[in-house]
Amino acid sequence: MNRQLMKRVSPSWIGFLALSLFAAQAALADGQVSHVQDWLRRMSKAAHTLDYDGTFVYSYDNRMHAMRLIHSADGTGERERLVSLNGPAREVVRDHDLVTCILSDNRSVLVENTRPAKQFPPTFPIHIHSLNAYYTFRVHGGERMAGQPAQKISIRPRDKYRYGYHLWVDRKTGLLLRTDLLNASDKPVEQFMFTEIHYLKKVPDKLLEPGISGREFTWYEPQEPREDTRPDVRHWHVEQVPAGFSLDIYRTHKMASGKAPIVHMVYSDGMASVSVFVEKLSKQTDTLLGSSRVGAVNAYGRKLKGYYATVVGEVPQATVRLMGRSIVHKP
Amino acid sequence: MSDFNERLSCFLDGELSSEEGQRVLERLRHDGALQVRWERYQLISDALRNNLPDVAMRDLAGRVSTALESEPAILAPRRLRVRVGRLAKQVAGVGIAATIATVAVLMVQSDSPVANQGQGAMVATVKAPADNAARQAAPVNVRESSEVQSKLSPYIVNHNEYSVSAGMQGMMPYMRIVSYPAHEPAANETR
Repeated sequence: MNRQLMKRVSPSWIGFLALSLFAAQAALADGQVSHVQDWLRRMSKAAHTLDYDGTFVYSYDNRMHAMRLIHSADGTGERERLVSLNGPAREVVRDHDLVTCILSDNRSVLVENTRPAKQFPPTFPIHIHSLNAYYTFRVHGGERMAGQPAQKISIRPRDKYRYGYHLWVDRKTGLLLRTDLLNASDKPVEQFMFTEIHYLKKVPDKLLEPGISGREFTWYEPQEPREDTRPDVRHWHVEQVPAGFSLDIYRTHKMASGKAPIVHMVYSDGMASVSVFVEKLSKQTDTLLGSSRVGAVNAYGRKLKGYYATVVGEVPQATVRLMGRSIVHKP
Repeated sequence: MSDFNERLSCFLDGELSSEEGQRVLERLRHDGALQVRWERYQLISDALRNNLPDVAMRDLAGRVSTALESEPAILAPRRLRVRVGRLAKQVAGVGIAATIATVAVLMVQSDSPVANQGQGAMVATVKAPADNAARQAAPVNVRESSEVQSKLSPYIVNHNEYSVSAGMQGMMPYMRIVSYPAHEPAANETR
């Protein structure tokens, strides 16, 4: 189709038009970037400060799931509850610095500490201007989501090591109402969309209590004293990371499910994050080797000389594999 | 019944043979409850793709939540080819000036790195070029089952707490843990 059209038009005209459009686009892009920055800042703040009760659908591949999300914030911090509405009864509850996942079909409860909150609400982590080399940003028009007027924003990667995003942000409150995570061919890897949202002055405490007690389940809890240290000497390194990714955090931590401390490294390009976990291999280690995936989260596991490494992130498989294969130990 | 649900989803995905498809259609014609379910599938699919007219949107919340509560596993149909056809029609329908502009835009866009990402345009690494990784971007056997997912849970929880998206989206990243397929060791899914 396009080729046929091209034949009819003289090349010089196309060149001229292309050039002027390119110039216009470049000028536009600069304005777009600061708009996107504003919207993302609002979005980030809204996610941590609003009180709301909403229902959303989450889909990836051919699966679809309905969930309810209740969020509350006050001067002391945040409380949240995510409840599965179809399929097995599952809940994730955040109460200040603890996250509890109650998985009734697994008959297990997983408790973890949250990232230590130094300030509340958390500051906006994204600096768009430094991200320009890896993503393009665009502000679209308005659309309705969950009955609210929403602003659509696109973030597209410039290479195949990260995903793209279409975001719809509530124009009044700044809350993220819908996300499409897109792969290199612009197809959604996963999507979520609120179908109903109620903003409340104060969420009643009752709504934030888990609906499943989980008393008879197996509990995996973080051991005391809480181990989360930032060692001075770093033995583990990832030698190949996509451009723009750098090491944000290097910590050792005892996971709720394991006995021995693990090394947890977080790499980020400012938008997407990848976690690298390294632990001692023991007979009990339940290893997951090779490539696996949960929605848009790709994972890669491998053994290396008595150790076991897991790479996890909302990035394409190529990224977790590249990083996973280049993990080295330097004594 | 759940077996038939699966076939219905396959049918929506265009994965059934024409003979099997005929059988599904035959059953649809005679089964009122099934027709309602069919409508729900379509509605949910449309809702996610944002193809709903405004009038339908108004009533959407209630309808989607009812639909989802009564469906243990809903598979969304894919409808990707439609758009190409629609775009082609739009291009054919506009005047010549607009057509030239369209061509120019298409050219600009195809010159930008974004459009070239499929060919691995921007490969850069800390130390060594990642050409090998670029080549390996093609089909990999990626496992995805409830067993895989429950093993990954502790890692995903730790990752969620420290990732940038958690800062932006709060608890949203946990939707991945909540939506795992049911944990049944016997029914090991392979995809």
